[in-house]
Amino acid sequence: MDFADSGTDLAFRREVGDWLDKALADVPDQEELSQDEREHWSRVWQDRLCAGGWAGLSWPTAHGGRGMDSLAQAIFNEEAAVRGAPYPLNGVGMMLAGPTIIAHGTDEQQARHLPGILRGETYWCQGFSEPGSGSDLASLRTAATRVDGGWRVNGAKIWTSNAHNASKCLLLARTDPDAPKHRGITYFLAPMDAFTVRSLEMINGDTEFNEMFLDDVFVPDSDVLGGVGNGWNVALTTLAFERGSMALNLWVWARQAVDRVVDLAVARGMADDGAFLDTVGALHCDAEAVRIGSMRMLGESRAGGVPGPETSALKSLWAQVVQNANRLAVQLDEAGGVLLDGDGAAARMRRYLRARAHTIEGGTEEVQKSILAERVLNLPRSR
Amino acid sequence: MRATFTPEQREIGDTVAALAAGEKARARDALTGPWRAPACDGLLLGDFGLLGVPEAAGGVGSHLIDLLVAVEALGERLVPSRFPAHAAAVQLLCGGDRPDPLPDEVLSGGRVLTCAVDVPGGSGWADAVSPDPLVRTLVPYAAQADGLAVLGSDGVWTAEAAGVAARDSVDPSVPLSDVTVAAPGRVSPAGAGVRRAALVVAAELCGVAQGAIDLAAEQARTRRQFGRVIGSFQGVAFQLAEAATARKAAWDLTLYAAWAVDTGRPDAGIQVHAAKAAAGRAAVFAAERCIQVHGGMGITMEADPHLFLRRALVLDARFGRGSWHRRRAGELRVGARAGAPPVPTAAA
Repeated sequence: MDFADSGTDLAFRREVGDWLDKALADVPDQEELSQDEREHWSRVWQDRLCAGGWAGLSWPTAHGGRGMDSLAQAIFNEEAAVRGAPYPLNGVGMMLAGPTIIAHGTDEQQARHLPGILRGETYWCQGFSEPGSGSDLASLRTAATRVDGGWRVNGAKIWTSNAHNASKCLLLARTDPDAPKHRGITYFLAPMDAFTVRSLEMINGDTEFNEMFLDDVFVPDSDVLGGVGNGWNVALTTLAFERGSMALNLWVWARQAVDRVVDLAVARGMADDGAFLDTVGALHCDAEAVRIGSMRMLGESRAGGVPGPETSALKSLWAQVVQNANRLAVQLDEAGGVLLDGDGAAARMRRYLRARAHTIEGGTEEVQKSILAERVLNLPRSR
Repeated sequence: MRATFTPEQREIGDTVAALAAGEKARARDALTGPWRAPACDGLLLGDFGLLGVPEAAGGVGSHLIDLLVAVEALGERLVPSRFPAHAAAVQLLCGGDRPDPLPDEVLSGGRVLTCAVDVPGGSGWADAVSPDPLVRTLVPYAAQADGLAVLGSDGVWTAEAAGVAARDSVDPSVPLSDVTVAAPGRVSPAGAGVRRAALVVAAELCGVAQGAIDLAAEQARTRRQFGRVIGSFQGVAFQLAEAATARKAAWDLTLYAAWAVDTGRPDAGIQVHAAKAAAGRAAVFAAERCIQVHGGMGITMEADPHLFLRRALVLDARFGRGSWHRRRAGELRVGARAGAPPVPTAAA
């Protein structure tokens, strides 16, 4: 077992680093910015990725990508995260929509949708979750009924990141209410012109998530992806890409969360405390386990396997270490962090509150544990 | 391929797992009688003695991970073999830049060694100040070994025990003693030896954790209450999911630390502390969950879960306690941030 970059990997890492250093030179530290400003830089960053030819890094060359593998994508994402690069505003397009359309789309769909992602013209969002269907995604009730030339869709979606910037939606809707719940779903590449988007204010004041309301929205037949009634299978592909992309840079955020709380304690002269050192030791173990586990997951999938259910352990560990580090940072503040006018206190509280989402988004902690119980430990379904 | 086991490592794991599965001697046997060498003891000591031994020390260029895979497989079944202690002793002696080649009789298992590392009253290994530099505690199989690999503050040496005082081990399948050694004639630099040896203990802990999880999962799949198998209750299932997560983290840390030590990476030290700390925590946690999932039977001597806890506790205490390793990892992490550039922050 070898964890080192090969010579080629190292050369690519250097190429990426050189480009990033230049491309990030005028990008401010995102932490102190308002959400509007952060979104502005996310858009700028997306444009730079597209102009630099990085948007389709791991897409096949036949589809306009650079045909590199998941490790190259991992190296790029790592190097970007280490430098605190903004989050690209069309991550859903690059990491989920593109690869899913490449896997399931017709030639016509690929020709129509993929170039817009690579050029940074079309932003995508993911219309999966619904108010009544969170963890139990397959119970979704947004309904698509047959009309001349396509489908009329009615329903509501929620927790949609970036819907306020997107023009296209990876939309799951029920096309056959009488079929078993996994079989009556169809996957659409829906234009969003007729969607109503309403932002949700999160507990930290950010508005990154949205609700979407669909009232008699028309979606043409040409936007059905992977066949009518086959939506669950196509959705599993998207979710697999989502899990796969998790392994690429989550660990960087875990490491940064730990480094940040250590820096804070050092600056305050609190880093000699035994209990603090014990906690940092435990945080180090978890953060490194996320990094190493991500490398092993990437190695397994490159060797021909697919990321296994152990991925759920990584997600779970990552969420814990980020939550624990951000909680500790708040606890180091004056009055346990409740006085937001202290130096940097508001930012730390915002980060702590944001981290509460980590055990909810992308599959709740309970769902991850259920996956581990059923598919790693072979226990019976507990739901 | 990056970050995957080699075919040889998979084969070693399968071979030793089969050997362990076929072993008749149980950790339980030592609860009612003296420790006896299991049938596989000689085979392991004889045929697997070159695993993880660097060429400079007389090996054939096997990676440390090769050895850890074998030891992990023994830990899963609590095989009461001297092999892990012997292998750790060999590792302790062969980590210097220019190690003395180990005698053939050691590498071929003809002379069985064990490690004398922990200092009475201390919590870390012997780089701390010791009141009596020639006494070591928690020495496994001292009366059953032919010699000792001793760690002192200025290096390592092999020695005969000048005195062995048997202690009452919570896991009688790993007899523990206090050992007095004579002052060394010559001491070799330990180099990475202490790190290499600590990872042998960490690997066995990862095995113990896995064995406890397997036993607990088997119970959860078969024991029925309220008309259902108890593994269908989330309260039961989630404990085991947590144990499996902790065990995976510990094993990944152990494998990475072994690679870091083998390749001389600058972060090898902190990674070894992290691995030993995480492995001890994972094993004790898994064994406690195993007892819990077994319900009333879990607290009886006749059921097996306590055997995993006993082994986990002993291994967590040896070669520097888990809590000491965790503290050291914290200290090194804080030290590494001194003077480092501030953390950049992304939007997410």
